[in-house]
Amino acid sequence: MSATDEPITLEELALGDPPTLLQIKSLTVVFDTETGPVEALRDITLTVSTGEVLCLVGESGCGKTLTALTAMGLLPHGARIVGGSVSFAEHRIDNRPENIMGAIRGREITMIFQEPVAALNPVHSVGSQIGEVLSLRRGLSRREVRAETVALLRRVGVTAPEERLSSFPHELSGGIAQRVMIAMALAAEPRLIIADEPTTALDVTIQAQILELLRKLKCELGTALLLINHDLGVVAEIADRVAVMYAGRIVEEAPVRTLFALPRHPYTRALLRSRPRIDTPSQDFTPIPGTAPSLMTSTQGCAFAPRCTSVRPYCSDTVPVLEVLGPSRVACHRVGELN
Amino acid sequence: MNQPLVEAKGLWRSYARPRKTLFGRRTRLTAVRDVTLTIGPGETLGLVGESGSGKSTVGRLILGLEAPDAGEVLFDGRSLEMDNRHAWREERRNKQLIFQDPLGALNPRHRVLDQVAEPLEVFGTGSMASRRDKARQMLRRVGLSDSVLERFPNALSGGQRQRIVIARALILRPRFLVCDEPISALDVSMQAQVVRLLAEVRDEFGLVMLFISHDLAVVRHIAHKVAVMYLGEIVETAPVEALFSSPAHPYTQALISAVPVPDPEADRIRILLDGEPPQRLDDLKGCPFHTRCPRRQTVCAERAPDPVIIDTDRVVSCHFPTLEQVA
Repeated sequence: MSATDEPITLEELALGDPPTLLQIKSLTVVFDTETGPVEALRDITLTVSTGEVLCLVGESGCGKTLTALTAMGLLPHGARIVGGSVSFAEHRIDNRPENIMGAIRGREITMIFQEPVAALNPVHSVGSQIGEVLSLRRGLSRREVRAETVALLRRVGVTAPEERLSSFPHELSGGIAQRVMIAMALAAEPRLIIADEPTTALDVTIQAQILELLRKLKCELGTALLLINHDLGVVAEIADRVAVMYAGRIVEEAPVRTLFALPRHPYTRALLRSRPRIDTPSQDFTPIPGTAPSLMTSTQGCAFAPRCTSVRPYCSDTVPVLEVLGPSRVACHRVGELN
Repeated sequence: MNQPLVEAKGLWRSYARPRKTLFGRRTRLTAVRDVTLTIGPGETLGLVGESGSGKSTVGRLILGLEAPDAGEVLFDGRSLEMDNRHAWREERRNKQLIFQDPLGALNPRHRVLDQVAEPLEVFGTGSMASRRDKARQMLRRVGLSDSVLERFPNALSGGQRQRIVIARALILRPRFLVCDEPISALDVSMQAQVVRLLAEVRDEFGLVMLFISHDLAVVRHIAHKVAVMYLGEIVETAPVEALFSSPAHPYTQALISAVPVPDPEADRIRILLDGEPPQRLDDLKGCPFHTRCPRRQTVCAERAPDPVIIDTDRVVSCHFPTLEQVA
């Protein structure tokens, strides 16, 4: 399915229900620095299908968040796309003017952030923030807005939603604020929600509640979710498919059960062994030696080679490309021998 | 029986809350209520609980950084002398603290080697050359290369900074180390490295440790004994394997079941708690957990449960503890 390049209107975009919702193709993004351009994302290819949960995992600085921001057309200052494309519902969106992108973002793709209290507007009440989305994006009347806001808050599990309408973000606990954030993300009835570490700042019992909520919403509404997370436990609970990133590239992508049962890339394997788990006895974990490379240092060949236990001299010669291996895609020179 | 190195008996601590309005009534928030715990020689106690449960306050009270409203802390059988500044200072060399944020704990304008040597200088130990030599050795021990010695903290990664903080905490050869969320600010792969390092130096230097963390998985891998806090109270204390294989308090059970396991095939029972911890602690009667407890009965809201010894080293504060295998 190739994305068309023709100009489209939002109405056209809203029509149809293609199996592939978000398609990122060979995306390369650079940051312009004083010492020249630095490649932050290298040849990223990803798809999110309708109703699917795709998790992006990796250490900080590996490009997870930048991938999501680029998909939404929210490139940070100094970054630019030098190759590849982003399509939504089979229409290219990486070359759209800001006013079109702004509308797509609010209606078709919405976002949930890590710090809900910081992401909400501190001077507007919960009711008016959600209501704004409803009247702007769905053109509801004032009376409808109130009823729908209450319904949304109830749907995301806020108790006594009528009383919450007049609350301000600082009066909310982290868990309630994240529920409000999710209600806002749902208000426009988007087809894709991008969530960047939505439970990282929350306590574990509250995290369990929010994960349960996201699972429930996925089943009830069929909204696709692109979830950025570093906690493989969370990923195992919610993902349909997982893409593992390292130093600005995707090194492995697989359905969730395959990834955990049969990890192919040495980095994925190391990552799975590196965390102390709650269900294993004492000291049964192996830290990955060294640190993830900073994007400023350009590496020759495979970026994971310096920390890899299966490394061979030729690993540093060329960059491995993603190869299809059963249900997985893996970028490793030794993938054939290691399995 | 071995005398415990650290003993906290009936600690209470409350803080004044800011007034709601200009002439409003001043209220107090009880952060720690009636906390009793002991840490024996060579032992690591994991203190777990969610944010606001009072874990850090207990750490500060035990170190003597704050005075309790009631109760006392014994170190090596002797009471902490909060008023005698000289004695307090001498005592402090035996006790060190590692915080969550290594950058905040380090001086951005001092070079790495000088910062690690500084505690020796404060206590007037040895010549400058010997102090720097000791610091260099300790930095190597925590896994840092000599190339970082003359650098500033800003130029280093989070993992390297936390290693510097650990080196500085160990340089005086303390007997007791409090780690307050030592890995929360670090990247995933760094967390595992630092946990491994802390376990190594603990065994090597024979440290007694209080390991405060919200991360139960990490606590399982470093602690010998675990105390679970909820709303300022310790609700359960148990040896680490007993706690994780058969938690007795309903809060401990919910907490453990809420931690995600990196295995999509895992068949686990998830206990979902309703709502969030209540805010107004002082009005709370009965068991602190009764508002969210899946097993609550009428008595739970009326009377606070007394701590019950259910097995060797196992204490639980609950009217209806379970003793069967849950995990």
